[in-house]
Amino acid sequence: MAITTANLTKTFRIFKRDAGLKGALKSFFHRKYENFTALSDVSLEIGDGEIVGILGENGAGKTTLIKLMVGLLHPTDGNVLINGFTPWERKNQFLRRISVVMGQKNQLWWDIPASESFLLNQKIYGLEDDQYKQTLGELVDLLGVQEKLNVQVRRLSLGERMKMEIIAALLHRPEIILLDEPTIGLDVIAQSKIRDFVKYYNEQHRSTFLITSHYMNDIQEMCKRVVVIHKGKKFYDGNFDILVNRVNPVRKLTFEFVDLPDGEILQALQKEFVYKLDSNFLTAELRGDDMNQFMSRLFTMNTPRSFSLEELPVEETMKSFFANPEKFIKGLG
Amino acid sequence: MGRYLKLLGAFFSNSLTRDMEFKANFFGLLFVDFVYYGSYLLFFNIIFSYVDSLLEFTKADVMVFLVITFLMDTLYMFAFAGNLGKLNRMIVRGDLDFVLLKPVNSQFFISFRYFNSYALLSVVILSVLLWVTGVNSGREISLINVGFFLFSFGMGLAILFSVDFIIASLAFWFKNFSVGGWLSHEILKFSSRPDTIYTGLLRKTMFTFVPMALISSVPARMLLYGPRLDYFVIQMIVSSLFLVVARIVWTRGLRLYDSASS
Repeated sequence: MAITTANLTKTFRIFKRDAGLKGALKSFFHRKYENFTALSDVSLEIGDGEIVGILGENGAGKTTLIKLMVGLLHPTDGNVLINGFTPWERKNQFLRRISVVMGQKNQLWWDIPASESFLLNQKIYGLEDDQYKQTLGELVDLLGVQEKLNVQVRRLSLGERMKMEIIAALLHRPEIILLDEPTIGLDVIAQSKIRDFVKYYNEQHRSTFLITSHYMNDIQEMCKRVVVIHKGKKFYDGNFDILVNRVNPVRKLTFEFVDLPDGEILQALQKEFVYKLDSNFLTAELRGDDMNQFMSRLFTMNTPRSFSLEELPVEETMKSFFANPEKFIKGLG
Repeated sequence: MGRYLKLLGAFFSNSLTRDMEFKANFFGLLFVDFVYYGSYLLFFNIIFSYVDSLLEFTKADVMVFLVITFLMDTLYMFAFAGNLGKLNRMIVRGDLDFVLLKPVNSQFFISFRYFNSYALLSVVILSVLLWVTGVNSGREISLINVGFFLFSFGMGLAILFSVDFIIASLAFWFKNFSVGGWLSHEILKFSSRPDTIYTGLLRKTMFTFVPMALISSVPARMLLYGPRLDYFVIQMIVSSLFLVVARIVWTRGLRLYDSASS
């Protein structure tokens, strides 16, 4: 296993106070602290070469999980093993095997070109010139940033900067890569480029990826397996498509008739299925088996001029999931 | 060791590249440093217009002492100030993450990551000035004096670094300790006065618990008056002790680091 966590728990002691000046004065003399459990009893096993998405609302505990996995935080309870290493011991051999990209934090020096920071990373990881040049060349080509290498980081667009951050993180060819919101704030083209890159890199190098993102399209495109964290607890660990289908099994059919069938036939059909008819266009939103039966009936009575069958947008689906996750999870395990 | 020297070179090269991006700032900082040094020289010149000496320190001795103080300060500015000055903010904002994720000793990384390259020019100018004031002091400065001075100066720099490092690291406990910078600044001011002005308990404190006299005064004594074994031993013990305490504070502090939220 590349990553194993056992009963991982992290509690923070946080300072609480009431709003306003009165609250500030009161807390100045008498501080109130509360224990906040950011992560509770999370056990996971992630194999070599997997791409796993970590899903959860803001404050669910995703980033805490990642920070525990890379040793930035010490757990309150439980254990983590990453390729046999205990992360918070921060052994150099461990740190050479992992990498983290955080969408909201930079490791590149702001005022100098990214190429200078890459050279620094070469020295930090003790990379031989040949290996460094070969890896850098490959990453630069894949992400299409050749012309931006010698531009100061502060002059790059957000998308270009993120690509440079990814290059900096992968120069030492880590075995395990944790991407925390890697596409946050990027336009759709840049998002798509990064997704394609992750998939390609994973295929080529069999690196293990752990990805958190609020963009469900990221997760849908990159991760077969997802782990849902809700209020600090592992809520679901399994196939993403099964989860989506469970949350919203409805598909939308648009069927264009060449010639409208008789009114009687249509009326009989309306008794069994809910649909709308607008001139020659029929639209219906139905669950799996109902949709199959409905389509079978339609195709036997008529050949369509055109038709389409769509899944409902995954973003919308997951929005309804996070509004009431308990409702959908029962029985999924 | 070789790897860490290479890293120092890479940190310096990065810092120089960055500093050269902003020419006006580069020379502006140099100018401010020399205004600061000038004001100190003026201050002591005024004092010596009323007195002939500060115990065994003559005016010429004090000039040597001041240049050593400036040199110490400039070397500190060059190597450490740009790093330790940011430590509180990095702890509060969780910016230590990328430091802790590198396969390099984190204390080394955080202490040497950014050089203030402009200060290197000051180091060269002040080294020449030290030579000139040393020659004009009228003291017999032998090679043995110079050798002991260099050792003593290194230990003084280690104490200066440790004191500032320990104070800056308190941010791990206090969560926000922005006052730490001012605190070390005020404490370190004691090192920029000749030790002869301290008497009694204060003098003992300056040579032990708050070892400000060991930073510049003792190196100046080694250069001007020759080696003093008692001072040298005290300096070795205190600098080693402070470096060890800085290490302990750092490793304990890291356990409290909560990395802020994303």
